Amino acid sequence: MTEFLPVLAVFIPLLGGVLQFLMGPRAVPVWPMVVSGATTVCALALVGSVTNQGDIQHMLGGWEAPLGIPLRVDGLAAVMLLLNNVVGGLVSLYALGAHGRSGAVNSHFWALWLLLWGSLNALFVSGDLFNLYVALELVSLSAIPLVLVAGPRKTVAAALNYLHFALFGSLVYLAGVGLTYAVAGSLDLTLIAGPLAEGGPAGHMAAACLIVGVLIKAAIVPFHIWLPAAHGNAPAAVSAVLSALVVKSCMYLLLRLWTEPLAGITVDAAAQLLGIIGAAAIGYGSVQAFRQERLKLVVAYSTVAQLGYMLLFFPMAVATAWEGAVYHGVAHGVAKAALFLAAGNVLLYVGHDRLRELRGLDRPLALSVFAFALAGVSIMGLPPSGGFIAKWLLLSAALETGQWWWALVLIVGGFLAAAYIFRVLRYAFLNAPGPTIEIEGPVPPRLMSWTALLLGVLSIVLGFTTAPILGLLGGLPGAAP
Amino acid sequence: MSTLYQAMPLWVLLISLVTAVAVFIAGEKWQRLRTAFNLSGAVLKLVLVAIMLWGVDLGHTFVVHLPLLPGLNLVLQADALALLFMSLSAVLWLVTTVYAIAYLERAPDRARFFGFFSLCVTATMGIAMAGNLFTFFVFYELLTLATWPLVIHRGTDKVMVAGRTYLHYTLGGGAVFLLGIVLLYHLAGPTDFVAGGELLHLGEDHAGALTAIFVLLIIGVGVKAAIVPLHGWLPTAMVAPAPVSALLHAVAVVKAGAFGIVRVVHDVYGVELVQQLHLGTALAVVASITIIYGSLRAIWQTDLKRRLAFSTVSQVSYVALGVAMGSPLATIGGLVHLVHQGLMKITLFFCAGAYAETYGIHAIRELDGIGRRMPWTTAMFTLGAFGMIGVPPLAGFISKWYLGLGAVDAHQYWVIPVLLGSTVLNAIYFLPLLHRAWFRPLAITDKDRGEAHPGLLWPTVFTGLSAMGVGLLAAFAWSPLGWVELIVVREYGL
Amino acid sequence: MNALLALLPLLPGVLAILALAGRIAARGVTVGVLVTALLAILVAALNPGPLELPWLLLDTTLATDATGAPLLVAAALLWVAAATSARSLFAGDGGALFASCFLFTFAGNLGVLIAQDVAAFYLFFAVMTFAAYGLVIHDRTREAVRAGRIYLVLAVAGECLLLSGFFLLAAEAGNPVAADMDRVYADLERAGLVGGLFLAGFAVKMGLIPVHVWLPLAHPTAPVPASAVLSGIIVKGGLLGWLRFLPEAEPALAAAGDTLAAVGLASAFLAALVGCFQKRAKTVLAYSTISQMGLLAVPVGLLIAGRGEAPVLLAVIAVFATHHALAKGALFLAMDHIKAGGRAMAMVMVLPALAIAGAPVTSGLVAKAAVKSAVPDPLPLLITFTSVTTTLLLARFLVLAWPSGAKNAGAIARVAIAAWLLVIAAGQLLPWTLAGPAGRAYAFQAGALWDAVWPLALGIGGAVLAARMLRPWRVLPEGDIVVPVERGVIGAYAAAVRAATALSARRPALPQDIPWRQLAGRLLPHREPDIPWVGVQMLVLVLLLSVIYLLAG
Repeated sequence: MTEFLPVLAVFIPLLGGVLQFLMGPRAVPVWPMVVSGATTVCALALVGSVTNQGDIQHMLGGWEAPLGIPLRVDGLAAVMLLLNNVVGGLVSLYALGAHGRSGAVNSHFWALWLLLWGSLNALFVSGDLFNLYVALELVSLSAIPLVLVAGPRKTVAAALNYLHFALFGSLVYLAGVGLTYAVAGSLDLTLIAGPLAEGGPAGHMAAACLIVGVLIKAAIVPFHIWLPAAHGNAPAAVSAVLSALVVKSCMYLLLRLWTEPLAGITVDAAAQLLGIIGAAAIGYGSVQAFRQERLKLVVAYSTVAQLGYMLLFFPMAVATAWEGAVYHGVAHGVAKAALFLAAGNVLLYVGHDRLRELRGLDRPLALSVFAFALAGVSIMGLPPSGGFIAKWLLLSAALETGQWWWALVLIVGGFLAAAYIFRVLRYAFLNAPGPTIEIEGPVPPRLMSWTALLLGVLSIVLGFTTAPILGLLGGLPGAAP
Repeated sequence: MSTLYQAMPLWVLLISLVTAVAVFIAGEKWQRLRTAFNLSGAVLKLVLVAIMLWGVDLGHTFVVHLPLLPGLNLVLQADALALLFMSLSAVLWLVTTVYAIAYLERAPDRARFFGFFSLCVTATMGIAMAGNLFTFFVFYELLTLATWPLVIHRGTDKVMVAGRTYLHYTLGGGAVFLLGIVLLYHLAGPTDFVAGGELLHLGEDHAGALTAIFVLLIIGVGVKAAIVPLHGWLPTAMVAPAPVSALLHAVAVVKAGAFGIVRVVHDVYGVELVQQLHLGTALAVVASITIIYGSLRAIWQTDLKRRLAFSTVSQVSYVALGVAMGSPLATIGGLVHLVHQGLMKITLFFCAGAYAETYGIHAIRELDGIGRRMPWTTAMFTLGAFGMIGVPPLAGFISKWYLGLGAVDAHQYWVIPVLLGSTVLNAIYFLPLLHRAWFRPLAITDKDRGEAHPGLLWPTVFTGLSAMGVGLLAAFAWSPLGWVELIVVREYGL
Repeated sequence: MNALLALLPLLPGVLAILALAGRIAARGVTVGVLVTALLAILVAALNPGPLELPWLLLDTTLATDATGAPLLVAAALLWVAAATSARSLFAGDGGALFASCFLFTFAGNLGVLIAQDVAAFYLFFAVMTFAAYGLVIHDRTREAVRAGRIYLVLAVAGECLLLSGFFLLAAEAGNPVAADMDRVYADLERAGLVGGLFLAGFAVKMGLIPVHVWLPLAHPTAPVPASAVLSGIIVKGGLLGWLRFLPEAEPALAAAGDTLAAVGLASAFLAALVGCFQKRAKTVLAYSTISQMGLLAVPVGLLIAGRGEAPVLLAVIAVFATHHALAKGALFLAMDHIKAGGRAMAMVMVLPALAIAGAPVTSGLVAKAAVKSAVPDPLPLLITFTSVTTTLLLARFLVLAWPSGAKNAGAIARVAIAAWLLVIAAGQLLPWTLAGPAGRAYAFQAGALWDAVWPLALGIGGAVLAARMLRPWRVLPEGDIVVPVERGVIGAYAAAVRAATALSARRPALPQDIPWRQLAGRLLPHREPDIPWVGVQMLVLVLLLSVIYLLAG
């Protein structure tokens, strides 16, 4: 049974999405909710069994490597699955409030979202390069139309831009895959490390293409150009998923590639380059977030910045940094989803999200503002929160490896994050005369407020659940235990 | 001992957390329910703290471990020192809650206020019971976050600027503190708070690193303790409502900083190591500068609350001074001032709030003759002021007494002029104020009103009389002094 | 029985709080003082054992002692007399405050008389000192406020000296009681320093030159009953401090003791001379107090220096202190009575005046004789000379105070007059009783009598002569040396403020807020630029190549 759990976790949402397309608006909201529930249960069961029994290997169709399609769930994948499905489940609940009524647009939303969910799960359980590519493409192709759900007028340009970058990234990545196959004769992650390391220039080329391709897809500075517009204009649930999960899945891929197939090839100079890019992302994203005039753009730029933290793993490359980077991914995923959902509630109530006009929001939207604040704590890396634990681990790693400059980056990044988060809260609490909300929209339904709040609380709770999650993750692959 | 009893620190922490959540949930509409939550939470906590006091006196230890990472635990432990701070917070929380309910009778956003208020106490309790630096830091930052909404409660532009200043200082301090902790853990591994510290063996080889880390840690906690030149936020934060200022100054924020200094010196480094690295004298000098500087600045303040704020800057450093001198007697003086300053300063702020709320008095020159209209409030203000000057039998005298004895005991004779200078300066900025309040002709023409609202008056009277009571009954075994002596005996292994 | 001791400060303290809240009327205050005074006399008569309250403050001990008991009686009488004549002050606007301060001062005063340990003594001393401020500035005139300010400055300075002394003492001995003081000092590392600090600190209250300046300012501005207790009994707080917290015959303190005696003697002469050139009767009396307290400092100094037998000196000090408390108190109180009662009252007033001057048969005779008997040569002669200056001073006082008309307007309560007369009578009797048979006999020796008479005659003669010769009568400012000092301090402060203002005006103004946002705006676009597609491709290429280069390393 356990062996089929990965399959179920992938195919239930994928099939569910396809069926939703076929059934149309009639099935909303019952069918999507059933599928969401089933997916979450399967995925969590999968994570549970990994916790109890260790890594799971499953060859799709029963063929052995190198012919078959290997599905593999190790610690890293399990942690990402956990994040993906907990956040996915909650976003589904939120979407029940936002897109729960039947209608063509809602039907499309649910179909695409379930597809996206399934492809994300697929990405995490894939065990070879080509499968990863396919999953990555699926993710992009279901994510981009989701951006358009908000209405074509606002988001077409953004979605197109996104599409360009995604395709271009895929192209570069595919080149890497091809080169790898040429060098190693296999695409199974476990089998290509050795040949790549010995592959000479072709190996280097393959590795570079893989890394740069993923960087482009992960919207790392300077390839983030499409991100603020796309994330900032999509509907709240979509923004949450894009920012919390989709870009995170690309970062997952980078971590996975770096530590396994490319482990023999990577050098410190490249790692430092990635670190510098990360630092640049932190600095640029945070400053831009501080300067934005719209709430959702602040949050979107915050994503640009936060992705940089995960890149700091590469130059340090010790177990603590590994744990820190992954934990950062988890903490950021949960917190960012909460931020976007809360921002969505604000947008719903006010009708716009121009910061200067969002005065005194804490009274009508107490829950959402509170959710925003809680998630903000994690984003700032202040205790008690998941973000703090991640920052602590990364700081420890920086000092452990003697690379104190990364510690500096972490601390300055925390300040910058505090600056933009508190700027938002400041407007929310402001009680002074000035432009105020003109037309009050509907107060968001409870379901929407509470899911946002739940995610906010989760991002705090993550500050206390380090032990089980890092236990699940396991040590840095390849390092001596 | 049963597990439930062992886990007392957790229950104490949870009570205020649950209160906070309940208050948030009760929201703006259910005022009575909210008040009931608030008061019952405060009373219940007081009871629990009393039980723990009794337990610790009998020699029980309360420890709760929550492993986060290998070697990194969230530790809550209630030793005698923790209970000193906890009792102070628990008592003053109840009192301030009563006061705040009356103070904010018709104000908006009360649910938010009381929710964060309880959260603030949760953080304070956590700081008190933190069993290692990591846990301490967690609650220390939580305190920053929980107090910011209180500081900016009124939500005006001016208040927001103050809130920003507050954040600049506290977050900056927090970051420095974090750096210090990580460096220390890197150097010495994770260590719990132990009387005397566990770093002595590193003293010879890593003197430079230890000194640097000590400086980082002290800067980190010094921001909240408002040590000069890190005190800038405190007078600015005066824009907060009076109960918040009272809490900020007497119990939560500055006390957390001062308490942190005590923990770092005593339970992380240990007095012996601090003296060996010559850090004690340096800290004492910094504290002395703060004491004198704060008092000097207070003299020229024309706003009542600002004057009190600078007075806090000055007085809180008594704690640091006492701890830094490294003599048991001075430590007694410093630690007991933690409680004594709390009682006196909260009284003063309650009075300032009562003046503002009853007659709209903010500036010192408006105080003329107020003693006739509000004799009880002004009497309590007088007690607080004399306590700050250090006149017996008030609490401040006991602190100053032991600090003075400690200075002689530690052969740091230069401290005595500092103490006397502080006394004189305190007299200079408090006595004219008392003169105005009692002896000047009444400035207010508004004839209808008399004494402050009972909800404002009674907490003030309680804290004022307590400030006198703890001095008058200092030799009593269960007085703060008695308890501090117990701490010091255990700490120094006398 | 000894629980009564605790009641002495407690009862007026509680009454003071009630008075502050306006809960007791003027009559209640007087009755309260009367009851407490009766208790005090009872305590002095019974002389109960020490009351130890280990839980109070820092282990408190209350007891009467050889000096405390007679002064307790004197204090009781004087406070009752003051309270009866202060009836009108307790009522009306500001009356509640005055009553409260009055009662607090009373409580502190009684406490000082019976506190035996350092901390409790300091407590009562402080209560007395600070509450007396309310008495000094009761009139709220500019003059009164200035007097109050200078009083406070000196009081706080004195407290500081005491506090540092206490620190040094208590660091080695905990919270010692007066009875152990000899032993404590024997073990003390810095006995000389501690003793010196105490001597100086208490000297402020005693009004020795040069820290006497608050007396001539505070006494004339305070209401009459307040001046009476201030001058009569409150200044004795300093004396008790000396006696309780300084050792007898400690070698380390020999120099300090001698200095005290010398300063005391100098004060006795100088204050009397300065006092002669004052224009207000109450100021003259204040200088007389300074002078007499200087005289009292002589035996104390000798006691500390170990020159003379301790029991004898102690007895002498008690006699003199009691005598002065009652006589000076009566003189101050007379200022009110002669306003209402005219010449008749003035005639009665002469008696305590003569007593201060040391005229035969009065209490002054036995007091001065006792002092002279106990001190070594040449001090007796010098003390006799002080009688001359004292006579001059009191002559000046009588001239100023003597009522011009027959009877002024205003009536004074009978009970107040009765209490006043009681104070005068007790003032004459009590010192004689205290002096014991030996002292009485010594006072009535021919030599002693002669020593009392000739200075008096000389003084009166001198006064008459001076009144003729020195016209116009020159007047010195009240508080003599305080005037230039005050001017200097004010000038220095003004100069400092000017300098600070000038400095801050010259400082270049820093930009208030660094324009971060504009700076960022110039450097960074607000929105993501529309990069041409080729640009992105170039970027990717660059990155790819650099990664390859790095990997190939």
